Amino acid sequence: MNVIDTDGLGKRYRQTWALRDCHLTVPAGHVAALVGPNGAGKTTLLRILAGVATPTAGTATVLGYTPGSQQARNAVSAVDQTVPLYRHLRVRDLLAAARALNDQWDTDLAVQRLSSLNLTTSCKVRKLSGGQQAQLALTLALARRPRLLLLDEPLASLDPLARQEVLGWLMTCVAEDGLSVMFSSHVIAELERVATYLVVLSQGQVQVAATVDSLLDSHLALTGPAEEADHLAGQVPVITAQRAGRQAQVLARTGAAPPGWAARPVTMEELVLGYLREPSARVLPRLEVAR
Amino acid sequence: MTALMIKAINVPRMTRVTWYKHRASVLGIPGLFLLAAAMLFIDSVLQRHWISSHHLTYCLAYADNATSSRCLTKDSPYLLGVFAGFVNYWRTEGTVVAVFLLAAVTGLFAGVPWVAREFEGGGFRFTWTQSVSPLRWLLGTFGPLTLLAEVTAAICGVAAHWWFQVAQWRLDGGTSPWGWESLEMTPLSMVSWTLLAMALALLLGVTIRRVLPAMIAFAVTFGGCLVLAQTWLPEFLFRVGDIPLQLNYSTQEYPTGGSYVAQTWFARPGGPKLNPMTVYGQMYNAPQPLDPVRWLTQHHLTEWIAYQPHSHLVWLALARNGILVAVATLAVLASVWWLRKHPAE
Repeated sequence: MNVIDTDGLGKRYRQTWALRDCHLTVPAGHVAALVGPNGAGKTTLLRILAGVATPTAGTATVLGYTPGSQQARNAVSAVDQTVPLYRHLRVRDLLAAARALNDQWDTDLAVQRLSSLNLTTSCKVRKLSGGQQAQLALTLALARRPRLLLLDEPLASLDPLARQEVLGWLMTCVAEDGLSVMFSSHVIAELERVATYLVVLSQGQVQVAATVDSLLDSHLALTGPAEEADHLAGQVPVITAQRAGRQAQVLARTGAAPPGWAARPVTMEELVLGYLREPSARVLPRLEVAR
Repeated sequence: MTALMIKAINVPRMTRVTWYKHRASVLGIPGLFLLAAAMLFIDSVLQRHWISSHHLTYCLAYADNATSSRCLTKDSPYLLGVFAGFVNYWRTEGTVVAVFLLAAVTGLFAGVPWVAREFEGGGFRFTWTQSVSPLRWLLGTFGPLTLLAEVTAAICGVAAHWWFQVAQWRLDGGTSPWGWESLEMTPLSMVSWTLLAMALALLLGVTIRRVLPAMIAFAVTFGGCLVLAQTWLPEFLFRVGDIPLQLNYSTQEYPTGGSYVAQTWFARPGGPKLNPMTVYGQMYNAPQPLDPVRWLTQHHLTEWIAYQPHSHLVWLALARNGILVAVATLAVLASVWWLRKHPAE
């Protein structure tokens, strides 16, 4: 079953398309990383999937439901990059409001999580640090016991220790509850640690959508003579090539190194950066790599 | 049907959330109306005591202007002096205006900000990603706040009506029951204006989505409604179903006290209505001193009025407030339509 399905999805703000002709499928049970340069349409996509924005074109489903429908609302939690919380409320009142707003609510989870974070419930939300507010928003999102969690740069305001701890907590929820997650981030090292599915958005369109394992298995970092780099494209699908003096570093979609080239496995960071450098390259289900 | 609607809007749940999110408004709205009601009640008690202690009760036969005028000017010169000390025009008029504007204050400082601030601050993204739809969020917050405002406005309206029964005599000897002060100082009027204020606040908050511009737009729009309701609307409404009467100068037949003369005109037999100002102009430009009645007879003119008897007042007041409620209902429906057509992003 797919937790996310979009078909020709598009969103236009006045004359500008933030998202265009977006075809995306994310199977259940994955932690999907959503990456892309600024303005690629990540936030727009997540907001449409969360039901707080409506598409201009195409269709989308989450867990088989239309975003914004009651079934989707009950099953999907989202934390926007703006960390939307009622900051004038005390933490306990926000908890009470969130409990009242939801059909399904895990009070124990919320209380235990906030206790472990040493958050005082009598404190006003606006008095909390940015990191604490993000933690609170994540706690409220998970206390709903969702089947799909959409996170838009949730770790941006957290310190490194807190990031690690939050990621660990997320992974526990995924493992224990079968939760699916899609989260956007610019910190590729974080993605590498937790992501099992990678979606790269570029210029409002999906560039890459595949499991991390399949991407890592099907790509190699090749090192060879710079003068051979141009000929390499005829042998294997080349994503990017960078020349440094007499040597060339090539990211190619291939399982074996061509003769005369040294190969090593790619890291997630190399893979992501390679595709970001070459927006016309595509890796999509049922599609060959195209340049 | 109602049960289904209540279930659909999920009133108890959103009412609790409204309490958590909008405590200042939940406490402020009734606080404002109840404070005003208490002040009007105390003032009314003091005025009634003053009237009683000065034996003016007979003079202030509230609904009959003519009786009190006779009492004060002919029968009892002493009472006229006492009454002159009782008149406090500006303070009373000021109080009437202040009470009348309570609805505007409620809409401006409680109605507009709650919805516009949610959009401006992004708080809606929190609620919309819970198990509550935007429509439930909108109506579930608007409903309890407006209900609270309506109940307390009604209480304030009762106090204002009771207060005005006496206070109107401080407006230099009483007002016509058709005057704007008399029409507005009723529970029905207070409730209607408050509903209109909250509904307009909702509509402007949903469409503009910025607190300050929405507040400015509300002040302009609601101000426009107030002006229309005091100028064009009564002029239009008080002509509906008015009764024409040809004035007979010999019998001096005229509508009884408490009636409202909506129109005056002159006419020749079978001719069109003539503007009184035109006729008076011709009459007073005559070269010789004249007897107006004789002049009118010579020119085959008859004077007509169209009036509303006092018995029509309650129906016209109901119609006026019904129009306010209808506009408020349209504003709420427009808000819902706009939210569905233009969700947040």
